[in-house]
Amino acid sequence: METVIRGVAIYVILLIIVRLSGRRTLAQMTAFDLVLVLICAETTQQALLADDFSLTNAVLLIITLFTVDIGLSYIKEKWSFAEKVLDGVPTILVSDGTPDERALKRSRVDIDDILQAAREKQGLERLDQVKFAVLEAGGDITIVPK
Amino acid sequence: MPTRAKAQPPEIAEDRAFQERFWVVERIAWIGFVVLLAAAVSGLMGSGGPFSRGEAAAGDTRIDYPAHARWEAGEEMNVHLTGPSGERRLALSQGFADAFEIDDIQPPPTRVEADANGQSLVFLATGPDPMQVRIAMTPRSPGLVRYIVTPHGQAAVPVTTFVWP
Repeated sequence: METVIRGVAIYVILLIIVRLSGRRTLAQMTAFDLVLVLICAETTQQALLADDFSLTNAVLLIITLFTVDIGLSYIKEKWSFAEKVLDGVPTILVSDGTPDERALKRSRVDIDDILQAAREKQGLERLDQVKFAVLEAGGDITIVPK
Repeated sequence: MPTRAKAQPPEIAEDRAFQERFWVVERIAWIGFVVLLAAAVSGLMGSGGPFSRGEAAAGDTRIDYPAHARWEAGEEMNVHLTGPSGERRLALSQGFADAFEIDDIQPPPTRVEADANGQSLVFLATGPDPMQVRIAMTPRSPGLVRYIVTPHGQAAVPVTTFVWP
């Protein structure tokens, strides 16, 4: 019983913290961000397993995490509001070459990040070549060229 | 001069009103993160910090106990026992045994007496000086734990420890 409770609790806590920490962390993942993710994984592992290193515990835990994930995907499919809350919605950061300053500030993304995405993905050189820049729900910046 | 038509927004499920609300929630949550960290540093969530320990007095005896502890994390309780040389007792109610696993007792008791109300640790004091008993213990389960500590020759002291999950 404890395994399932621990699994569900950690899943929910991680979901809330990652979701509330904002998308920017995923949009521009630096080498140090990767180290942070690894530390989080290591820290979580202790709380998940406690002092039970049995195969049964590991299997139950994995099944718990995947089952919660599958369950949530059904919930998200059924209720669009749940999908918005759990996954987020895309945000248009640049429209017709004009940056939306408020959206940029609130999403903690700057013009340099958009220009970098434009160079990497579309080979664009200037902001006025960008028709749309969208911060996707997954944290990625996508560029639509003019 | 022909005016350029404004670009049609791409076909994406942007919900700006929702996003605005979520940004507000996000920032409130960040304040919550800071409050939580401040509580942790102050010791309200156990594992060190000014509020993690509690102190209770019974006569001239002092009990230093964990006020906020964490499940399965080691803690300790210190009790000063006073009295004439010879046997000195420290009685712990059954609630203590139900809530904590005793890892170590220093100095080791010469014997332990148990009854329906709990256990009494009996120590042998070689002189009249106060002696300190240190009990290393680990909470068995999370939640609010109440138990009674009765130092030698003193009134029973009700003690409360909150164990964080």
